[in-house]
Amino acid sequence: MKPKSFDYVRVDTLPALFAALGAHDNAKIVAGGQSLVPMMNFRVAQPEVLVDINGVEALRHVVREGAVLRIGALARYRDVIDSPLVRDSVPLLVAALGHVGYPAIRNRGTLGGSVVHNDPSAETGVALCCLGAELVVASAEGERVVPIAEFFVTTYLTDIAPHEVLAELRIPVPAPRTGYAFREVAKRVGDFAIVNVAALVAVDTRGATTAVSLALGGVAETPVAVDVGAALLGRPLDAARAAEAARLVDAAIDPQDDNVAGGEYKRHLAGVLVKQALLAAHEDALAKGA
Amino acid sequence: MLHAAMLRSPHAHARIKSIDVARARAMPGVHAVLTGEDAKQYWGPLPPTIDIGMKVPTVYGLATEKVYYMGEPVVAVAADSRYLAEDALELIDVEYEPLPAVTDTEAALAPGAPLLYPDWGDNVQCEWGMAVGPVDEVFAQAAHVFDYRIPQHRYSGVSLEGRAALAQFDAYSRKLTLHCSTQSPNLVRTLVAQTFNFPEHDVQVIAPDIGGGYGNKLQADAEVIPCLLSLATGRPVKWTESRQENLLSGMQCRDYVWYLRVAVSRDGILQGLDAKVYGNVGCDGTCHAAGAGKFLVACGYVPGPYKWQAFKVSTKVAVSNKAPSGAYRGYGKDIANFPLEVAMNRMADALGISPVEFRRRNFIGRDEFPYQQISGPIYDSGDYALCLSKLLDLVDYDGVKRRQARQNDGTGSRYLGIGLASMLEPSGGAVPNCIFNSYEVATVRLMPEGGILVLTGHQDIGQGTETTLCQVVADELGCTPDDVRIIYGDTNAVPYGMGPWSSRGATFNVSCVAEAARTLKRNLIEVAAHLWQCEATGVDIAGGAIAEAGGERTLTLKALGNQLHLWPGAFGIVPKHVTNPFEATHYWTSPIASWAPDELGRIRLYSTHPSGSSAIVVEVDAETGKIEVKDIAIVDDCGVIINPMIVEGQLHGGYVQGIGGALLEEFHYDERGQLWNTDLTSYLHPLATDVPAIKCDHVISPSPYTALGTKGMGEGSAIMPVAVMVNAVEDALRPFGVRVSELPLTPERVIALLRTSPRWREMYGAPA
Repeated sequence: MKPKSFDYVRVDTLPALFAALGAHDNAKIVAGGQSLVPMMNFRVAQPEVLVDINGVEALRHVVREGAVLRIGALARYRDVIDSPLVRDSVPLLVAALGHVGYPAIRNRGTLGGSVVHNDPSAETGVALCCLGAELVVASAEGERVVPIAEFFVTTYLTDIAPHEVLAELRIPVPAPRTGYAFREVAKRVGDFAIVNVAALVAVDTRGATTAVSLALGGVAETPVAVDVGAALLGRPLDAARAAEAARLVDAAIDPQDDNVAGGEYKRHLAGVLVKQALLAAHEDALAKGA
Repeated sequence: MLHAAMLRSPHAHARIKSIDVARARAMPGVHAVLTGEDAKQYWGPLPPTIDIGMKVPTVYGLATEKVYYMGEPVVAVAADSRYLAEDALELIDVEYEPLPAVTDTEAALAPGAPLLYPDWGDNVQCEWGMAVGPVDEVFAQAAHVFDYRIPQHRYSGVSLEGRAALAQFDAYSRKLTLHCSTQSPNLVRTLVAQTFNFPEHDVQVIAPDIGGGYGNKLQADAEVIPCLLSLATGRPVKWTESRQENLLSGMQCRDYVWYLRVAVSRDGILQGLDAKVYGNVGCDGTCHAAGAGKFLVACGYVPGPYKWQAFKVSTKVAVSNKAPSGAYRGYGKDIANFPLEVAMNRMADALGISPVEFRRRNFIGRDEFPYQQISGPIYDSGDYALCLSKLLDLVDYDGVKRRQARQNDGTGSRYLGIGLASMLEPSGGAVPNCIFNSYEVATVRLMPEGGILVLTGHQDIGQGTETTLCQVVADELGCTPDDVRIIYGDTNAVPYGMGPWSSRGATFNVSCVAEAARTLKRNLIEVAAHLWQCEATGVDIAGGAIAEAGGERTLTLKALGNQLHLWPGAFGIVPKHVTNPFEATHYWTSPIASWAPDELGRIRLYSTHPSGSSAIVVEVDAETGKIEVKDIAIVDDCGVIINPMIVEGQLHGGYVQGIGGALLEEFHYDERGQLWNTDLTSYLHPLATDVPAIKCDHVISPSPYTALGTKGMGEGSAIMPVAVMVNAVEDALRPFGVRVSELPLTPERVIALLRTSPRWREMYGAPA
């Protein structure tokens, strides 16, 4: 349980980061280290150089610009959960991140690290998928913006090159009268989810559903967004509508057996949690829309 | 100092075709690379720890021709650092020929199963059985006969600290010093000496404070590998087990299946028990650790706290391609408790009696002690019915039942349930032909400056031995606990005792310390009476001083220590008939254990028999399968309580471990023998968020067979919860009529169980 020997470089600016990444073939960025360091101890990851970006202040911001919340990739779960700005503009994210690990992990781990790592049941990715976030990926050549659904390739693999860094998460702030819910079943508090579901439901003044967004974790190699609009739009959301949406989800997913749970159970759980999340999000929207 | 690392087998069962260590040996910073064949010049096979008519395999600390489980050490490396040692492991090439593996207990016993040790002809390490009373007649005439198959999965103690060992072989004196995290330094010394064919007195084992044991640390298994590397290099070698190594090969436990037949009369009286248990000890249940013995204990105690007219039991203990099996908080008492307490509730259901009333009708009565159970043991004391009554009050049983009737009306998805079970916890075991054969010894010494030193073969493993023994000695000698120091954990300092297992602390250990203190006290009183030329009668010690009757003349222990040892010294003040006023040593053996078979062939292994009852209230979410533990209540009877905080700490800790076994903990082997959970993100323990505050109450039935009326009580709390949880979940899910058949009760298993219910499928089935 000891890592292979590696070199360590600490950088404080993005140019220094890009220089360090350019100078080494097998370099790996370390931020919170909550996934990478255990993988190194298991020798699953064997980087030759660890580039520590914890000093790069330019990646730590949490700001709102108009209808977009911009979160630096180095922001820690704790920074985001405790931010009044996030709580007011994207409460779904706060609800989701409350399920991440334990206080020690939330104090150290970063949102950017979670997204780049892509554990398919990680709460960060599921919430960001539901919110339709965009990611800013930076390198010495400049920046590119990637929709989150395209960023996730498969388990533990994302659309990022060795010389790039995930710089920022851009989250559209949901419209007024949008309710949210996050539901998760894990074996224990703080464990990786078996299945989790994030939902946003917007209503008009009469309570009819005008927009819905739904994402699930734990049911595929990446977080999965499912379009359930056909079942819900234009009508109030009740138990029968939620069940119809759950049927759409059931048809859209194909969860496999893994070390956490069997595919059949995950499918069952997806149905239960989708119904719960949609009804709760709708109720929340009604409360906001009054 | 060098650091050890071990290359472990990726296969559950394979022949080793070749091992190439050349590149590892050539690596700078590497000082030794030894295969199992290389090691034979230093050691012999691992010696057996138990042999009751058993097959004893020839196995070594490093695999030789074959590997028998995933994680078995194959090559050992010593290097300048653990980092380098692990680098060297990557340079070793082992060619394996994989062999068919067997992991399931009954599959291992079936004809045609892959054989671990082909010369055995089967996978049976041992068999044992007994029958008492008119079994056939009772079953033929019984109004009701119930049949159950009740399995339990594999889990274990998984202490905070895994194993750790620092071996120092001194080539000049040819002495070996081993610091290690063990529950029993003396037993480890003997086993290491046997393994290396070394003079035992040239081996010193030192166990400082250790990070938990729970029974897992009662052997010399991987601990012999750093010894080997130190012998080979002449340098100190340290090995600290990683969590992954601990989960792969630290001692595992449980893993068995019972078949019970129970005969019950028309009015709900238990009559006959016919029980078979098939145990699974992994690759071996004696050389790596003494796992096989627990099935013998299970056979003796499956009758529990109830009365029977006829009894038949047998066990067959199978080897399989899983990690070795050792002890873990129960050592068979758990195996005995689980099936019968689950069956008691199911039978009560079938008979239309409450599980409380059914137990009351069948308990051994409070006036019947000492009671010889049909399987042989003599139960010393107890009041089982009172424990159960107190439990009902503590958990508000009737109130929960009323809430349950309202809550489980089918309108919600969270079902309330309450389970309870009774518990018998034989403690202070004495197993013949086994390292657990049991006696304990202590020396209590008056020091020149008046302090009291206690030398004990027992070991503090976090269970509060130092606190408890200081209290006992202070009470016996009339001083304060501050005046007493406990010395343990060094084979060159303490007498040969056996350490904490089988809850021996409050039986063997406390009794020998109390008796030694009493002897010392008698002698000190004789000395004082001689000094004062008065009668010894009436002279007593209190408040740290000896006082004459009436209290006219007094002498502090410090003054007496000074006079005895120094000013003037012993010859000046000790009467001729007192031969040793300085210290007393007492060996305590159980007055009630007996290995001489009685007329029915029964032997008696245990010294005291604590008892108790406990209850768990759960809410089961019928949609997600999640179980929430709402309440836990325990009533315990361990005889006289020395320290209430320590007793309740044992109850809390053990109970939470049992909750873990019931809901979360499981070594997940697949049919090829691959272990899937080798870290603590996948081998799950209960967390603070999984367990509510635990309520405790006590009944006190002193044991007539120990010095202070105490009974050992370190295991009962871990014994009960699995049966209680099964009973609680079956009670909650009563509307669906399901019976738990597989553990632990993960949300997924709960849903799988519910799927068998037509009513559930109708209410909560798939959305499609």
